Amino acid sequence: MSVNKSERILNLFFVLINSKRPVSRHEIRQKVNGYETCESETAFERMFERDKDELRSTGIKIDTVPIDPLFDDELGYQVDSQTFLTKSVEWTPSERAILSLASTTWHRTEFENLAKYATLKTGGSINTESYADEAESYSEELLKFRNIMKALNSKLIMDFNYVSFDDDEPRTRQVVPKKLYRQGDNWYFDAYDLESGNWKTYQTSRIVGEIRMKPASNTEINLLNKERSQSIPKNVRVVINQNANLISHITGGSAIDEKSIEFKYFDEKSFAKYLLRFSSIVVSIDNQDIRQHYTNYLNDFMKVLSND
Amino acid sequence: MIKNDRLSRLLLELPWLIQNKNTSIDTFCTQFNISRDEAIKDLSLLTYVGPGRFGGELVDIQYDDDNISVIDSQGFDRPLKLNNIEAVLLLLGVKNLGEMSKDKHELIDVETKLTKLIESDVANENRHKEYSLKRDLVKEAISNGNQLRIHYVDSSLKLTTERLITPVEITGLDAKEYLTAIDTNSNQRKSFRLDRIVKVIEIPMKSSQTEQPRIEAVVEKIILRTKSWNASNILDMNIPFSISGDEMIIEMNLLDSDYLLEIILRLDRNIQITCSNETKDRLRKLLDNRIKSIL
Repeated sequence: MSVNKSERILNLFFVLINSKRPVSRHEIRQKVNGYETCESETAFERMFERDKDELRSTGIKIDTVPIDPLFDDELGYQVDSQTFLTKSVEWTPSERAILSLASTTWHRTEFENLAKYATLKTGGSINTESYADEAESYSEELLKFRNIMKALNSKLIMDFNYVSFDDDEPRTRQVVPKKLYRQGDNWYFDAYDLESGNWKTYQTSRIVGEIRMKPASNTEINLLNKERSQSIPKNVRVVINQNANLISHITGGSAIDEKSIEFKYFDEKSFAKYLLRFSSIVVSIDNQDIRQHYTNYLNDFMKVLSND
Repeated sequence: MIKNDRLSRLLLELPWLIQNKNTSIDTFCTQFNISRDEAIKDLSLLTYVGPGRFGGELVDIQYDDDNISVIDSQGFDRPLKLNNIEAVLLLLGVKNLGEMSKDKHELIDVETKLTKLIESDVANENRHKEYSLKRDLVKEAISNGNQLRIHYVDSSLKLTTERLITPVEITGLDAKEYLTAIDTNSNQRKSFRLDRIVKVIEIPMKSSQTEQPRIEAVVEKIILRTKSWNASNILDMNIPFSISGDEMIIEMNLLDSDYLLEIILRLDRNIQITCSNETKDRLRKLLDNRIKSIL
């Protein structure tokens, strides 16, 4: 009986996850039910390449590595189950119910199926009851996130007004986003800024107003492959008058001793503005430029308080 | 649906069946949005796959009209990992639920787990762990009716001296959790931001004190007017504000000049401050000290 394509690919998957060492092509051809019908080595090679691509497209990583670590003349294939199987995250039944409900947020959007599949991956059930015909209601914030996700998924250019720490008013930005993530309490996305030709990190809460989107050209999409070499963060040490070990988590920096916090920053002026919120505890800053900007900002506010 | 439709579905079905033991065919169909025929075809195919060609090397699933049971999953016994976009979608969904729900305890646990999946920063992971331990300890004290000895970072980022409190409840507001407790010193109800409690010890001692009514002191009203886009600078402070056109207005009682100055410094330099001359003097002195003391 001939083996259909899905069955053959699943057989390949099971052979690879059940082997503790890389499996050679020859072994794969012998072990995987479905490859025995290949009339020639070339036909097998073609079929095997296609099957590997299909498995990879589902998120399963297949590595090509030497079978013998001392000799690289024969290559084999392996999947590291840690890279695609859940290990550390155990969901309780009530957490699964929450995830199921959470996924309904994306009902009737372009992300409905992705969210459903994500729920199923957690072992949860798809919540069909809450799919009533009520009108969609998205908070302004969620709409913002939806647009960012849309731009990420469909490789769109985002055009929006953004206020960075050192801006006196929002400025227009045109970017191609690469990754959305959360750090501490804030959400950020890394994106290629078309105006400056640099990688930048944007905080979602600092986007002002709506996000306009337009398709990116192939040239613009290719920018996403550019190295992030120019945007490595710099470090600055700030001495404070409180116990750094106890309060660094509130500042976004890391305690390096009892009185010092190390911060990572990209731009001196923006970081100086950010540091203002901790001015009640700041004692010294070991960077001349940041210190100068910081003092200038404090003097500016002194003028504000001296008016009237 | 994503490309490679059936293969993706088959890869989801087996671990889902392991986690949802003895599910029915109808439930299975609903979950995967497939017809009964498709379900039977999928289950039948799954029983033909495995690392070998013989009985003991194949996935073993038994099913009838009522139940589906996985007997042998051939090593595929854990669910697939959520990728970044899936974790972000669920995290945003949980965040959306949080905006509609009052009871946020469980949501915060789920949020923490999902956040861990998309954060690679070890420091943050440790912080999440510490935070969870602290919250568990506070919850335990609440259920045992015990008191807590805490150190707290106040609104001007200064560590307060040790204080004894009787915890009442943990509530959520936006992304933050707050502990409502009776301060045994003043016998008054106070609210503590949970992430700002830096040391906490449960004291096996029941509180015998009763809460005293708060004495409302006469406080000065402060009004701050600034451009509306400044809202993003104070979101984490949970300060009530209103937006009118492109103007943001913050109306608040003056409780602490350091705190007021922190708010002002987060806004832009065209801010309008309405307060008494005494308060402005105090703010100027505070600011002057900060300018002079910076090294």
